[in-house]
Amino acid sequence: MKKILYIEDELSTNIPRIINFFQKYLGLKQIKKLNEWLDDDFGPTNKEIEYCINASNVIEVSSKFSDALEKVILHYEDYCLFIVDRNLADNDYHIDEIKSIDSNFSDEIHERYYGREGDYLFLRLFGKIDLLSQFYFLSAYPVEDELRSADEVRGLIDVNNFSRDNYIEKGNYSNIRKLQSIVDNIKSISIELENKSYCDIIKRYCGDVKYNELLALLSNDESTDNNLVTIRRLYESLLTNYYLRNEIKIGNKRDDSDYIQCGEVFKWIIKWDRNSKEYINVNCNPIFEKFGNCIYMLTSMYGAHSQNSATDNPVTDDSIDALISMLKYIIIWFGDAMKDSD
Amino acid sequence: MKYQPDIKVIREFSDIDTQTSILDQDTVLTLLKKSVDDLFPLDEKYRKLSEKEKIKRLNESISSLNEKSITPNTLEYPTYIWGKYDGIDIYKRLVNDKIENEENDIINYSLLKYYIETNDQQGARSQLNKFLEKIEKDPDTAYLIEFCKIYQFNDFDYIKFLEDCHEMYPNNHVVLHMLALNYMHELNIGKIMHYLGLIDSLKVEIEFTQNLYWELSDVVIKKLEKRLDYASICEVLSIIEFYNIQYYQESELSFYQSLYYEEYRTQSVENARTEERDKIIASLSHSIKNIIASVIDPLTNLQKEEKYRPKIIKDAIRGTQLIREMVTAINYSYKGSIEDFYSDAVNNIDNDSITITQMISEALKISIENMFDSKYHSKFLRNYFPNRSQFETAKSNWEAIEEKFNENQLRAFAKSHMFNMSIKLDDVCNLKLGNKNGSAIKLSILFQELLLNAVKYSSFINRKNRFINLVITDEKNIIKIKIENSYRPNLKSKTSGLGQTVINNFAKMLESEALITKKDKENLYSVELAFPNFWNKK
Repeated sequence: MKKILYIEDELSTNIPRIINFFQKYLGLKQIKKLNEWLDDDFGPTNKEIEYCINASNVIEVSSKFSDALEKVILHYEDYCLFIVDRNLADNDYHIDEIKSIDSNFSDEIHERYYGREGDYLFLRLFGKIDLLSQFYFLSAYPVEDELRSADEVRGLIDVNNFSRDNYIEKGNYSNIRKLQSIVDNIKSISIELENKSYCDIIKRYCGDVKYNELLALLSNDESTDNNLVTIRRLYESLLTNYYLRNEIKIGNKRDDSDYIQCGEVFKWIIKWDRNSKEYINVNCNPIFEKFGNCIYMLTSMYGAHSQNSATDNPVTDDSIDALISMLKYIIIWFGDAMKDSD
Repeated sequence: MKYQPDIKVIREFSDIDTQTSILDQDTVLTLLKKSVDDLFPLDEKYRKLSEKEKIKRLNESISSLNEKSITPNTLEYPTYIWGKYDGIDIYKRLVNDKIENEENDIINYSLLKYYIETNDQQGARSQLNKFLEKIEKDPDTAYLIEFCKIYQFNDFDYIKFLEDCHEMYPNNHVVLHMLALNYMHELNIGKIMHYLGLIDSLKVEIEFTQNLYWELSDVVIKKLEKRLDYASICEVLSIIEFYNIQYYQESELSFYQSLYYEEYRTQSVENARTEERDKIIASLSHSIKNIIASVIDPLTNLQKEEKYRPKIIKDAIRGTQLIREMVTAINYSYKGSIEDFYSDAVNNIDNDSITITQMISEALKISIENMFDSKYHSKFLRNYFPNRSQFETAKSNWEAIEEKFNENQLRAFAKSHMFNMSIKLDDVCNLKLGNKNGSAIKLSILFQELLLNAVKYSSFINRKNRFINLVITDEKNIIKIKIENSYRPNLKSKTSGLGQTVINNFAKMLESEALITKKDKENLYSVELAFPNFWNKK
């Protein structure tokens, strides 16, 4: 999951803001710890706060310009939103340290961007992310004052790559509310949080590629056809991994090219004992059988194997939603089955 | 026949006074040159000589003067006496001359001057009293007043003395002339106009009256020009034009009039802008303080109720207090002038009056207290107290001394937990400054800003080398503050610059400039500020 990167050099002064901004994504333990620090006369160090927040897996904070620059240069793809304090000078940094991270950094750049390190981070992200929707400046001054000293940013605003609305003035209640609403409603993070149990299972047993496919499916960003293909792939991935875990018990279900035949695996799972009138496999149940069949049949007819049916009886969004709900059930079934055999 | 003051003598001494109160060798030489110019006014050859040759000629003239030909009553006597100025010799000469000329004013004046130069207050006071008695008996000997002017110690208010004479002898033109002349030295335009008006109404014009206009156009206007006070210059021009149109037309003033008026117009626009800015700051400050009060009060009530988390309420109250302090500092730093300080130095008996020593103690206390603030000064807190145990020990010791605050304990605390400190304060620091015009609070804010900076930036140095030195001296009527502290060179720090703005504004108000020196090799940062001793008259 992509995270939110919050870059702020004065973390200990901003604990209440951290709680307000990220309450939705912070765990109870983290909020408790932050509140304890608020009551503590000695207070926390920036590092302690970073350690606490970064454990959330949703929010990442950096209080040092060097750390932030490293993340922006090397790991920018890991983040869906950047909230950056424009002035990061409170936490000392040495120019050589910055040069070792960014070979473009020079004494001249240091001089030019000292006290507005956030602008430099912004420029390093230009062309890599959608600045307009993913980057917000936090600043103690009104946007007009900030822009006066930021020609480069002003240039990007002129060509609509950025906006004055992306400047959030500290202490400006409506600005803060706006940013908070953006943070609260980041689709990818919200979807993951809402579907945490499914995501965790897929990530754990099927890997990051399938996990990202699941997120893409849940985000509903793709076309209907692609969604059907994704549903089928995820479904087969579940069966494949189930098979791999239970291969000895299930027996050989591979074809001549050594590919696992998912249909055969499914058949094995739903095998019915006529005498006892129950499924042979203890993990199986009628819902799994019906949903599995349905996913298999529909994705074969409309997605994975046939293009023709789509034009005659197009698949509606509701049908896709229904299939996703069935897939979710199967994911939970799969998670339980895998846990049993852990 | 009444004594008519010798215009040249008066002019000579008034010149001396406007230039310097102490006759140094250069001044003496200048005066001697002037005397030679007077002695040889038509000597074209002399005038064409180079400066070096003039001095040579001058020295020859001096040595050729027969000592016996110069008597205490001759015009050249003071020049001669001071030309021979070399410590004890002049005293012997004066004492010898006085034996035969007990009542000679020039000798007595010279003695007064000698006592002042050698800081013999008792001798000076005794000479002065002789003059005062003479003047009280006969104000027409008022040129002596001009002599008395040299007497600059605290216990003699020269202008007041003249005003008293004026009250006793309202139509005495000599006193009026002296008053006008001395208000010129004070640059008090209103009074100048008043006394020139009185002289004009008396219809008594002596040669010295013309000299007043010369003083006004040549000395007063130049001084005002230095202060860029074009409004007052235009007033002075109007005064001269009104009372002495002939002088006005003959002088170059009419030629420069339009230039002065243009400068005045430009300055008026700037002043209007400044006034507008100050008005906005004052009104903003007022509004912010009102709003802050509406925040502080409910917070304080919450704190008393002890139902909500005390540290959070404390931090919130502290935050609002910091805003209020910032607003107050900015507001005060933009309004007022050095005159306020002079006035408050005199009016210093109310409860708000405090001494510089008290201001420093309070500023140091506040600065140290700030270092325990994890919310707003966490960086410095960590520098001073890297671990919890150090912090808690220091805090507990601080709380023990905070209530019954005592300067020695404060220093001992600083030494034991934070930095080495040395404070050397001149006696002037024990004089009280009133707050009628906000001077006590202004100077307190200035010390607070200076000391807080020193305490904050010393923290970046290791404990062993951490120090703050504060020295306040009072020399030649100038109070000099010097704060030195250890600092880490090349440390760039996030700052709004507000503190520096406040310091610079106050320095400007005190007609001074904050002189900052950094000695990177010694990790030494110092700020120096010099301003007049308000407790002594201008």
